[in-house]
Order: sequence, then C-alpha cells, then structure tokens
Amino acid sequence: MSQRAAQLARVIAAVWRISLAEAIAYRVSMLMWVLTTTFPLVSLALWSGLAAGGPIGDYARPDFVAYFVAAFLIRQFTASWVVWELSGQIRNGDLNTLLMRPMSPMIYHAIQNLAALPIRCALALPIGVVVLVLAGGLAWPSPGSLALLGLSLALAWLLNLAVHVAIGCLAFWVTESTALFEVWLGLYLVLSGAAVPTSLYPAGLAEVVRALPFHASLGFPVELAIGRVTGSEVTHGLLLQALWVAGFGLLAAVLWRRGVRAYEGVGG
Amino acid sequence: MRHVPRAMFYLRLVAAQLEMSTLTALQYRLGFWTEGLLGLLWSVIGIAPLFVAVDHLGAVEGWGRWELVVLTGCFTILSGLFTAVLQPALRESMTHILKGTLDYVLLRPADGLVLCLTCAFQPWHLVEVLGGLVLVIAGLWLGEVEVTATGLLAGLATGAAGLMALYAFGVLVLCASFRALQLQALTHVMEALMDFGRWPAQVFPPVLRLLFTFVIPLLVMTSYPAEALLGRLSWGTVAELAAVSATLLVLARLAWVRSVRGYTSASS
Amino acid sequence: MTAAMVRVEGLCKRFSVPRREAGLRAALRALVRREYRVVEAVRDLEFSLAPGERVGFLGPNGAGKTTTLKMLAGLIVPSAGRVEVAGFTPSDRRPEFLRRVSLVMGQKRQLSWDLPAIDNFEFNRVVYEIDPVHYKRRLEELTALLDVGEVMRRPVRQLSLGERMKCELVAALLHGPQVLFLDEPTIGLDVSMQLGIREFIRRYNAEHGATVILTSHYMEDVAALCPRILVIDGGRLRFDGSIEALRRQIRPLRRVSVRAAALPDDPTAMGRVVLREGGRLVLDVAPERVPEVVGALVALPEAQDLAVQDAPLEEVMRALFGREEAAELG
Repeated sequence: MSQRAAQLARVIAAVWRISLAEAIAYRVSMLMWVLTTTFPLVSLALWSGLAAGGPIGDYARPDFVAYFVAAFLIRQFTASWVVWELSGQIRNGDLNTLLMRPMSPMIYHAIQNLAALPIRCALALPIGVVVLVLAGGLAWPSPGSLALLGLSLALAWLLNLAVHVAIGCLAFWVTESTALFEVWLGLYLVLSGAAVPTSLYPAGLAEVVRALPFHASLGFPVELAIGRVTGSEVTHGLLLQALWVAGFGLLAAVLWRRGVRAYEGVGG
Repeated sequence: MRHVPRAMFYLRLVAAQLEMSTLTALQYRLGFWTEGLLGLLWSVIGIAPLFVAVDHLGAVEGWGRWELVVLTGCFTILSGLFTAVLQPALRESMTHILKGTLDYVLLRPADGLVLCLTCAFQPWHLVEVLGGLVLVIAGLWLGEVEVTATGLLAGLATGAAGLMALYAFGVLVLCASFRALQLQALTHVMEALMDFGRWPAQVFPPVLRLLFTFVIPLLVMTSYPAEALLGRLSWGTVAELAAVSATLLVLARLAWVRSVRGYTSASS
Repeated sequence: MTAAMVRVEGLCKRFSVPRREAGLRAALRALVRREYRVVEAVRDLEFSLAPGERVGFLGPNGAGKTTTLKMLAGLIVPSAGRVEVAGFTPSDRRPEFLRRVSLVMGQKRQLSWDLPAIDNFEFNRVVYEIDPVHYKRRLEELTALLDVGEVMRRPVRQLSLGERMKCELVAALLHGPQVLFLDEPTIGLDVSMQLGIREFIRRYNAEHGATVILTSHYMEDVAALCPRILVIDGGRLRFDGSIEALRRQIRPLRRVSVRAAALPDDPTAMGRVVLREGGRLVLDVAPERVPEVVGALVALPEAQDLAVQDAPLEEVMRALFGREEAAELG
C-alpha cells in the first residue's frame, strides 16, 4: 500500500514538473489569462469612482479597493480551465491517450491545474501589491483567520474544478459544452461578486444570490479575506462551500464515469 | 476600372461564405438554444451591477434608469454583432492558423482578410441584436426621450464607427496570433473587456476613459452611440470618433499585410 | 518547349526558431531570455519546369520540400532569390495567379467538415468565379473520373480518408489550374486508393496538360508518377533528372539473380555477392560486365529464373539519405 502511495507521489511529481514547464512555455497565454482576470481592477476603478461622493451601501471607497484587489488575487489562486481542455480532448479523441495512462485523467488535470499556480501567483501578486500601494493599504486578516481563509480558498478551488469537470464532461454527449460553460461564466461574472459585491444587491435578492455556488466560489472567500464575515457567518459560509463542492463533485464524478463508459463503447 | 464587378464578386463571395456557415450552424440545433437565447438572457442579466449602482445612487453620473436601458440596448446590439459575426470568424481563422489550413484560405483568389473575416457566422446570435434594438426603443419610449433626426444620424454614425473599431481591433488580435498562437487568448481578453462597454463613459476615471476611447475603443462602440441617440453628443466628437476608427482600420490593414508576408505556415 | 512554367533562381528561406534545452531549469531560463536559432530551410535552389511536366520532390523529413512547394504556391515569402510561376511572382498573391494554381495537402483538408463536399464545390465556384456551364461540365468530368458522384452528397465527416481525398482533389481542380501542387497526397491511404489517386493524377495531367509538382514520402508515388525528380536534402538541390538516372548514379550496379543446380565456385569474380543460398545466387554487377556475367550464368547447369534488375528504390533512398537522417526542421 505504501509502495503504491510512493509510486503515486512520484507520478504526481512528474506531472507537476511537466505541467510547470508547459506553463512556463505558454507564458504568453498565462499573461493573457492574468490580463483577463484583471477585470476586477477595472471594476475597482469604476466603483471607487462611483463611491467618491459617499459610501454605496456599506462600502466606502477604500472598501471597494480592498474588495476588488482581493477578488483579483483570489480568482488567480482558485482558477481552473479544465473545461476547455477536457471538452477538446473528448472531441478530438486525445482523451484516449490520457485514458491509456495508468493514472486517472481527473488527477492529471487537477495536478496540471495546481502546477500553474506558482506562475500565476508570480504574475498576479506584483499587480495586486502595486494596486494596493497606489490605492492605499489593505488590512490583512489575523493569522487565525488566515487558516480559515486557506480552507476557504481550497474549497473554492475544488468547487471551480468540479464545475469545470462536470460541464466539460457534457462534451461526451453534446458538441457545445464550452458554449454551456460560457453561460455559466456569464452568470458567474454577475452573481459571484466579480463585478459587484453581492451584499449590495437589493435585500431579498442578495440572500438568494449569496446562497448560490457562484458566491461560494468567489464572493465568500473575498469577504473572508477582507474581514467582512465574522463569527457564525464564517462557519455558515464554509459549510455552504463544502456543500456545493460535495454536490458538484458528485455530479462531476457521475458524469465522468458514465461519459467514459459511453466514450469507450463507441471507441472514441 | 473593374471596381464595380469586383464589388459584385465580393458581395457574392460574402453571401456564399454566410450560406456555408449557416448550413454548418444548422447542423447543431442545440446551439440555437444554448447560444442564441441564453446569450440574450445573459446580455440582459449583465445589467445587474449597473442597476445595483442606480439602486443605491439614484442615477449614475447623470444617466437615469431609462437612459441606462438605452445604453444596455446599444451594448446588446454590439455584443450580438460581435458574437454573431466577428467572434466566430476570428475563432475559425485562428483554428485555420493552428491547423495550417489557412494555406487554403490564402490560396483563394480573393482578399485574404475578407475571406478570414467572413469565414464563419453564427446566425442565432442575431437574436441578441434584435433584443438590443427592442431595449433601445423601449428605453427611449419609456424615458420619453425625443429622438431628433440628427440625433439618430449621429447615433448611426457613431455606431458604425464603433463597429469598424471593433473589427479593426479583431484584425489586430488575429495578426497577433500569427506571431504567437497563444495570443489567441486575446479574443477572450477582448470579450471580457467588452463587458465594460455596459457602463457610461463618465463613470471611468480619466485615464481609463482615454484608454477605452482611443486605444481600446470600447466606449466608441456603446456609450457614445447611446449618448448620440439621446441627443447629447456634438458633431465634433462624432468626427473625432470616426477618425479614431479610421486610424485603427488603417493600422489593422497594415498589420494584416505584414503578418501575411511573415506567414510561415504550420509545420511542413 | 517555349517559356518555362516554373522558374526558380537562387531561392533561399531562413526561419528563426526558438530553442531551449529539456528540463525545468532550462524552461525557467527561457522565461527570461529566449534563444533563437536560424534554420536555413532552403538554400540557393535553382531549377525550371516546362508546362505539363510532372515533377516529384524527394527528400527526408525536414529537407525543405514542403517549404519549397509553399514558396512556389506563394504561401511563404522567400528570404532571397526569385520565383516565377506561370509568369507571376507567387508571393504577390495576385488573384490572376491564384486562379492558375491549386494546392492539395494530404494532411490538411480544405473541405468543411460538417457539410457535404458538393456544398464546398459550390463555394469554390463562387470564389474562383467559374461560369456555371463550365462548372457543371467540369464537375461531371471530375466526379466521373474519381467516382464520387454519390459520396459528395454526404457530410465530409462521414467519408473515409480515401473518399475525402478524392473530394479534395475535385475541389482543387474545379477551376482548372495550370499548376497543381500536391503535398503528400496519398499519405495514410491504402494501396488500392493510392493507385487510384496516382492513376487519376496521371490522366488529369495527360488530358489537361497541367504541370504537376508532387512531394511524397512514398517512393512508389514519385517513381510511378514523375518522369523527373528533384532530390532536396538539407535545403539544397542534390539531384535533378529521371528516377532511372538517379538510381544509376547512386547504385550503378545491376542486380543479377539466378537459380541453378550448381553455382560457380568463385562468384566474387563476377560481382558483389548479395545472397548465396541453396541453389540461388544474387549478385550486384557493374553495368558493363552484365552481358558477360549473364552469359556465364546461363551456362550453369539447369539455370532458371535469370533476372537483371536495378537496385530497389528504397535502397537507393537509404543510400542517398542514410548519412544525415536527422531532420532540421519539424
């Protein structure tokens, strides 16, 4: 058993190394990606401009700065792009190669995803720091809440991954799974808190929005990072995150298993 | 000398290209539902952040509720045109570059750029254009705005300038992807950026406003046409915007000629 | 022949390609500074082709065949030198030029995947401004020759590789090009399909007088189809002439084989012994000694199956390219 674990660790390390090298090789696309995800920074400019005359809801100008810088960084940390790869591999038959490897393609994708993290951070952190210095300070959370933040980030990453895999797996049956993902992305931008803090939505609507997986994957960790959620809200939010992770994880697993069966049946 | 027959030839050519891509599109029925209608839905949902701002502030930088509906309508028309006509053509051309089949496109006895920009088309996204038109008319109607003939003319002129700017920008992205295939991700950047076109020009801080007018002429595409319709734009500004678009078009054409000369064709 | 259809003088093409060593550390280094290396894909090429010629480009992978072909087609702009095809400079890509040429690549398709080939043909009719009467006649001729009358009405996606290639050929020939460029047209096809395509190209060339320029990995394609071949290796022209001349130059010895009840005691005096087994003897003999050797072999007791052949093509190619197999360009 321990031998197998060691073997698995070696394989993971190898995938990691290759993926890291790939991530560096494709640094242009990485930079593109970081650019795309800098939009919270434009939202920042927008909202801090709007808040110049006075606070909007419970967000004053510096709050918007803190919020959107945190949103920018957290999107970098928790991002996934498996849906593009997976649906592409399913459609052009490359998945066959992956299936032949003595390792689950899912683990492969997950490691690949993690491998790009250091580079993304290296690209994104300086931008975040510069903006913070320009816009004036952000109170970092205490060490105790940092651990909670770490947990929340991990859950957010898992949630993103599960959603990506679930939608990517739809490519087993329909040709336009990426189009479906675009729909998800559209909703995400509005409902996750990437474009506007969800707490600013009108009362009634805000509660609904904040219960959805979109908020769990971005809005909640952001609010946790800037110290806007405290006490029982933290546990509540983390539980909600875990619940969505479990839900989408299950969906992804079922779709993946059925999909692979159907795929192998027709020989790709 | 032979300009009239050439124009006829290009009309026939574009018609043939549109026919081909419509026929192709009809192969995928699901696309109609996922992409067309959901695209429209998404365009409308996208106003949410704007309305959150109006909700809290009453008006955004002098734009009232119905005026913002007009703006959203302009945005929806533009993004509909983008996703129906330009985006699919860019994607298809980039696939051609990737697979090396651009060779065939370039070997056809017609202008390569025209061939590329008309090589794919997603007819159902025109639903969004219709939806946008409805929004514009509804906003003007309910806001009790009287549209003058000159206002309409200015609106159409700025709209056309905006569309040209969008095309020019698309061509520049295409040229960039000749250099490095990974730069294809620029289309995603472009799409994501377009979302800021929902906001009135006045919301952006001066630096961003200059950037979005002259470098990435986002505001030329949406905010200014809406203002023109509302009768707030001077002819001087209209001329300026037209000049910006024309300059971008010339730049784009030059970049295209350069790229094709440097084309190395995918691996031999 | 009067004017040449293709004229190439001092043609060169250089690419600069990024390079890095394997491994993570090198990848990290490349992040900071990327190194480039200039690859000379084609160096100082010189040849000319007459109208109606069928010419094959032979060479190992990355020898510069396809690059040359694409420069002739106007897709790649030469770094130096002059190219003239049908009286035009290809890289200007004038419509008048493009209407006179056509390119078919075995590994890349021009037909839209989701549509029947006939829709693609119709599109080419518009692009190439073929008049409808002419188009109809030509389509009938080509579909009859290639036997794709029924196949072309099904979505391309559903066709076999061979059927697809036939449709690609129809699409490429509808506008009646004077010069036809074929890049590995039979790659991946089964033998009978290869033969069919080869036969078609030969007939097309004979009936329409189009110049055909072909690159192929399959020696058989080139040998069967092209009276003239150009061997390109390392970007340079190494040989220009008939396949027979090439064979004689690389492997001048003739292969003589015989079967007999008793073999001569010292066959090495006649030539190089390739095989000596049971009653069978195979020798490589210098051309001028062939009559003498044949005479001696016929005189052997119970001599039968006497044959004189050229060295097999594959062997010629191996001898020609064996030294530097390493490809320079992907």
